[in-house]
Amino acid sequence: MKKSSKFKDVLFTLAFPVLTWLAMEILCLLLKDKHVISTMLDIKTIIRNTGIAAVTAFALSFNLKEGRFDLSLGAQRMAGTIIGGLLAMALGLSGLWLLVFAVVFGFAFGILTGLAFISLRVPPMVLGVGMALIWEVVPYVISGGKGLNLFGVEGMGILTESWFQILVVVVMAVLVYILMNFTRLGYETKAVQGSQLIARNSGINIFRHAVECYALAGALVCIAGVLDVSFSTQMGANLGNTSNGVVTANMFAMILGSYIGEKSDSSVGILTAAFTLTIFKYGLSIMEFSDPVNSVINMLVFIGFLVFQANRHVRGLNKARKARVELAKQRKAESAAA
Amino acid sequence: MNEKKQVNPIKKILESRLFSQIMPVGLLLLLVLVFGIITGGRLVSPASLKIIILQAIVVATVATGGAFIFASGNVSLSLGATTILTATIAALAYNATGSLLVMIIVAILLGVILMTASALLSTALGVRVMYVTIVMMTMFSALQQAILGGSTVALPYDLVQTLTNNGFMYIAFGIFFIVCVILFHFTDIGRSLRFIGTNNTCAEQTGISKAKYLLIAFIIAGVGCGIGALLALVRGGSIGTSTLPSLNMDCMLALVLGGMSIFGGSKSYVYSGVVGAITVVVLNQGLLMAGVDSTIIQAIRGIAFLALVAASQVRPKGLPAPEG
Amino acid sequence: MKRLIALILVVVMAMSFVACGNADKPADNSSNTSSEGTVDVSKHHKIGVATVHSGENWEIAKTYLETVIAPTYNFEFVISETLSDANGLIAFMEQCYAAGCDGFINLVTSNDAISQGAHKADELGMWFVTQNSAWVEDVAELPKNIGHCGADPVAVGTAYKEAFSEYLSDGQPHSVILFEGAAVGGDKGQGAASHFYSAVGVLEAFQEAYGLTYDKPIADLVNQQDPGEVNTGNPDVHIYLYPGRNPNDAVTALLPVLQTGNYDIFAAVFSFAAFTNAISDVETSLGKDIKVIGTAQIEKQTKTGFETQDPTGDTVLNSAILNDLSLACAINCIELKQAFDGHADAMKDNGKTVLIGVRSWAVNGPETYAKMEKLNTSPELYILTAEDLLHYAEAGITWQDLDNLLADLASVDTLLERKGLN
Repeated sequence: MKKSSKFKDVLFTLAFPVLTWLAMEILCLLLKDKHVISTMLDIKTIIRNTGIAAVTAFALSFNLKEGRFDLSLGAQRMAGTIIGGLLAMALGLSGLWLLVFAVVFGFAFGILTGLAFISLRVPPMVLGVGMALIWEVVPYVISGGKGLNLFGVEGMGILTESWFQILVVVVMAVLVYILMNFTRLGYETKAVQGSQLIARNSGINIFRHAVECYALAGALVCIAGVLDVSFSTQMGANLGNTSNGVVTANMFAMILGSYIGEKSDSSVGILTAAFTLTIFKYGLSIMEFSDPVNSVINMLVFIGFLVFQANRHVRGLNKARKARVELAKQRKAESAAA
Repeated sequence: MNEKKQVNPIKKILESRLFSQIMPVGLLLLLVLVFGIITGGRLVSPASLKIIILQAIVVATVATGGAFIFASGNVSLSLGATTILTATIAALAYNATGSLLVMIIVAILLGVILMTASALLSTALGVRVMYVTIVMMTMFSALQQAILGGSTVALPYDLVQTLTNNGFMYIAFGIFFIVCVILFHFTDIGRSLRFIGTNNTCAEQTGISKAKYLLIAFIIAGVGCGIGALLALVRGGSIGTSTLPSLNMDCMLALVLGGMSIFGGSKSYVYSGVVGAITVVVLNQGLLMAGVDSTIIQAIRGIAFLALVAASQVRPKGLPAPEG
Repeated sequence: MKRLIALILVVVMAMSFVACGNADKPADNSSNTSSEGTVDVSKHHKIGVATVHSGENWEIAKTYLETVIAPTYNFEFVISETLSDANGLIAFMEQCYAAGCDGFINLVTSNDAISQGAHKADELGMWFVTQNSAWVEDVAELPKNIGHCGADPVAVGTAYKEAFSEYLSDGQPHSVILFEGAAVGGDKGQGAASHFYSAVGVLEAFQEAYGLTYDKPIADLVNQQDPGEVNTGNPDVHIYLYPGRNPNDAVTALLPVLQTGNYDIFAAVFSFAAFTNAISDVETSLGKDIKVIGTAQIEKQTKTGFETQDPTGDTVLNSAILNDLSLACAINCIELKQAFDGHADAMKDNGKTVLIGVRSWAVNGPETYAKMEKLNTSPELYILTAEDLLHYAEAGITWQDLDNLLADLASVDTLLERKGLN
């Protein structure tokens, strides 16, 4: 029974990417006479995009699951990646060090955001708006408005290697798995998700916990930034509170990942969701949908999923209600007969 | 045994309703005074004041409508995207028909439809408001890009100039603002929304339907988006994919700076959007006139925003509860 | 008490930033004169600059504005953050007017932005000049609208055509992916004219080389909003057009196209560097060299493009069509200075604005670029030095003199000779 249940869970998890790939493959063949995955380059692209989506979704999950949507995450991504990159380049270090510095700066920005949160105690969305305005200016000033340009910089090649990207994502997934399942942080996260008030009353330091979540989110989102800039070679230091688009675009991966993770673990769920959505978007681009149309389709699917998720308990409730009504009728009939 | 607890009188004043009502206005006047002195009176010249009003008017309009949503304790991030998409389609409607009336009707109707769709996803289908607004924000921006491609849609200059010279912006905003004040402060719509924001459970048990009033709030916000769209068209004469990119955040900034309680509830005021929008413009304008680099102005805005938000609320003992 | 302290802190902080911001005061330049001593620079002018640009190229132009032009003409520049459209332009213009600006340089290039901006400038009484590649008729006669200076669109198109013709003249079939940027609507003033004419140049080059029969007029092909392959009438020659303003999105969308192996030339009307990793991956995978031609600027990135080798041993960047933002800024400032000194009419043609075109330079290899890269690196090596600025600010200079100057500078050899770099 247990084995069969585990097997079903595995099937459930695998169904998402497999069925998505199948659907996209059929559509691409029908519409464009092309396969979704034709060459090693397609695989490389999918790996990279999955990695970026997964790591961003991991970053979102630390706060979003506890009801905190940090609108400054995009700005932290930009700041950490650009400043880490400039430092690595200034010291003549390799791409690996760029990643390390970006993580360190992301961690620092995350901690500062978290400290601002627990000090000011304003709603996270509102805090995020203000912090984004500040964090966007930091890389702009430090880079003199130029942002980060890795074009032609030696030593950055490792960041574009597929094996390195897979390694980074897998390490992150394992780290998140360990954190969520075997550490105090994971225990506290589950408690706060249930009820922040009860968690606090039961002795959990929700303030320290919040800062930890923000710090980890900041560090992870900068990893995504590094993976992104290593391929595109450039990251501009953009102002105007417009930096969060790349992060909100990966919210679907996080929410779908939580759903898939119900049968396994949230890390596995998020990885699977990121992979699934990457295949979906890749298929749409092979069908030559423009980026805006691609985005609209993704959002429509996202809305559909949110509606499903918000109402999936309704079927069970209805079923239970019908069962109660049937039982009541039966009892009534029995007592009448008696 | 029954000694009365000594209440700090200053604390009492600072936490009073009256203070929360006048503080944003007081802050605005203080900024005007400070920058007026720094700029040698240039900031408060009639021409400069007129410019300030004109620059604030779009955000003020959209934020005024958004106040209804905020009052209920919810946050909407899709106000800006709704406004811009509405403006795009309204402009296309004008260019197709040549009719100003058609443009106005399309703008207001479309604003209402888009916001109603957002509301229904939440009220009828149970999706969290926060998620809905974020998804809608992304989708509406993408829709606008899909419609326009890389180009812009422009109105004829003569039309824009005529509307500007005839005070269309002031009239449209004025009418909308007065209606919103009446609805918010003198009808059960506003009372119910503030009650929901104060205590959702009590409101439900008193017979106030959260779903119904949230829908009404989104509809009013949709009208605000429609009128804001028209004003944006008249201001800039055209709409592109990168028009007013931070309008989503500017509305939230304006509302919070204008004294709207971020948790909604009884300390919500419909004029917050107007006061806040003008405050942001005065801050930007004053700093620019004083010679501060435009890059740094953004950071100052962020710091000022956070400081004022922190100062305007009672610091809770715990952390803010989950949103949406 | 907490609120009062927060309010006081905000005010103190704002004032301290103001103090920082006010640290740079313009120098007293009343003694600047041209060699003939006929340019009066005693009056201080404040100029608003609305920019769409960011990155190294813009920082170089900003440095030129602030360190060379400002002290030479006694100007003070109020520079915007990156703007994108008419709304942002109008708002910034109003702020500049309130801040005391009497002149304005607009780099927001869409026709509707220029139209709105020119009218607003007229209303506010500010001299207005635009950096773009198209002449806008409906505001051509506004008194405060001085004119336009930007990349000469026809010259850019010609440069692209010539660069491509060189690659297409070997008698072999070639195929191209063109990232055409903001080309859509560029001929109608909605996109970027230089992008439009660049795309036209490429299509014309292919048409002439292979006798292609497109199924639509070239202008209509370039103005298509959706990406896709052009029907060339020749099965061995493929042309894929991708319009869009976001290079990162374009990279993602074009990867599957690149991976088909059907294309051996890639052209980008801006941000060629964003595509290089994707192209290198394809070159490695397919064992095929893909030539890269792009619009670029005189900056480090272009040098890197010419010096870095791709997986096939060729340079990452094969040809560059160079535009110089700083030179266009100089012409804009000359026009403003002439207007301030009462010679605005000399910058117009019978009362109507003109488009003064900065010609692009086609550079086909690292050797030539190695000489050009030294430009804009010091006050003497800017294309127009302080002395040139003073000369062209003299009374008697007309827009035709400026146009002739730019025509002279169209030749790379002439330019390098003039700066002693040849």
